[in-house]
Amino acid sequence: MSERLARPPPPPRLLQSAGFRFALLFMAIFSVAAGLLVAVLWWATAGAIDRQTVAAIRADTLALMDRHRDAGPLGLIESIEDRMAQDAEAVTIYLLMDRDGRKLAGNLDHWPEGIAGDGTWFRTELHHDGATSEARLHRRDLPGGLSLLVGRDESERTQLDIVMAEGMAWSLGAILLLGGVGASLVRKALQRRMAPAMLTAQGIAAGDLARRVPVSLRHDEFDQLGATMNAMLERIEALMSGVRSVSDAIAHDLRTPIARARGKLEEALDAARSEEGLRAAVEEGIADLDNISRVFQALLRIAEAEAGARRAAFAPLDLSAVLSDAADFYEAMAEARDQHLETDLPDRLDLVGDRDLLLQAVANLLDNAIKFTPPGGKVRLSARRDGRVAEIAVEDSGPGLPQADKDRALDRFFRADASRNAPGSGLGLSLVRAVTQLHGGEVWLEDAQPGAEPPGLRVSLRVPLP
Amino acid sequence: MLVARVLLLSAFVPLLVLPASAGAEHQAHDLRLTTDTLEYCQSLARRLESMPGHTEPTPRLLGQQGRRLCARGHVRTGIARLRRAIRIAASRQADGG
Repeated sequence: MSERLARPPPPPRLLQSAGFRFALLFMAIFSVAAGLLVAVLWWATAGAIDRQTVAAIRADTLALMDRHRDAGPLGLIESIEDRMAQDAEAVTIYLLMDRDGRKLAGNLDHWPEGIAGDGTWFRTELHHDGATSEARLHRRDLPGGLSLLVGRDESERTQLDIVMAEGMAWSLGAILLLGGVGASLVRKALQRRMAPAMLTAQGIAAGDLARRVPVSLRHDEFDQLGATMNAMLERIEALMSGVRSVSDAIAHDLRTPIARARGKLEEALDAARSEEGLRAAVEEGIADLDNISRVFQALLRIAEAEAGARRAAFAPLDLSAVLSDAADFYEAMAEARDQHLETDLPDRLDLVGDRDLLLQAVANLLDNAIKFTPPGGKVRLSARRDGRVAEIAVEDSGPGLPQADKDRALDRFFRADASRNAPGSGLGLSLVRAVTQLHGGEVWLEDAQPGAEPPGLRVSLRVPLP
Repeated sequence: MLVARVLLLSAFVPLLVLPASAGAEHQAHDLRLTTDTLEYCQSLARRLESMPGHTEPTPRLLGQQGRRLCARGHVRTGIARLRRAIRIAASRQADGG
């Protein structure tokens, strides 16, 4: 509840559209560009007029102050009258007052109240000829109690400001309008290009796994996305197909031993005449169930290896020592079956991998070889370094496998017809393949002695070295 | 989104800068110009007549036009003509003197 409360509210519906957000960003960039342009224009026009006005007022004021110093108040009054009389553009403003507040010269009707002291600059509204304009004024106090205001009418600059503000407002409106239209277009274009992928995803969600994203010839980002999605869907379909076939195989191959165990127990329940007989039947049933449990363990191990979950447990190891251990273990078993187990291993073969899984894989190969080799036969375990690859091979002098069986021998629960009666689950070679692939390697089957009869079987593993 | 916000804010910076004047505070005063009246027009006419160069063709013509315009009620235009006449007369006077 608290998490739900803490979650920020979703953005407005319009902002949820990526197209709208892109357009908004572009609009913002255009606005900044327009704003900078207006700022530069203002600096170059209204700003220049401003600076000229200030310079003119300052020069005029200094000239009048010089005149006052040279010719006294009368000379100053005369200069002001002259300046006003020759101001054909009607932009100059003057006002000279004495210490008693009497107007001595100038064209302002009265002294503005409340303005600060000497050197003050200010702007104010000015009425003339039925109109109102802006004016900039500068106050200087002169010796003898005189106060002087010098200024300029800024109607021109005000007009320019109005024109520029109007221009900016229109530009802003146009940017907003274009941004809105652009947002709509970008949104529709994105929706149109995303539609095939979305329809495909919806179809797959509805159960139609055969759907694929149509890819155009434009090879743009959307086509790349579609192609990637299609590759992903192919992979998912392949995995699901594998899972389905494994499920089918599990259901099929485990049904028989479970039914057999059940049958034995049922028969014992009906037919057992003594406690010993019943006990023997129960023990037989337990042994059958243990076999089923081993099959599940093997399946889990294969799944673990295929998922790569054990890659974290990889460590440096000497493969020769691992193979030697396996050979020692199976040598006794081979001797018991009157077979000869040969080894051809290098002194040392360093590898980074999972020791237990590698040992299990080689054990499965040796177990298979011994199981299918007739008495008096030969089993050979060899390993060698081939550049940056370690090659391990287990070969036997048994009957071998037809090519069709070789192609399927690595699948789960595969059992060749000739071996139906031999003990086993059909998972040994699947684990070998899973372990080899986990180590980045490959496995393949071939005749040990091509052309000979029987040809025997050779299973080879190639695993890259660090 | 932060970039977009900064861009939007900076777009309005010129709007803030535009009305700002170069160091002059705006004050409200009910000021009126006194140089757009008929009396001032007449005083300019008298001033022109008192100048030595007012008989020159251009100042004389501009002076006549200015007086006529003021008399007909076009005070602002009339004042502008008279001012131009005075400016020309003064420059001739300065050149001659």
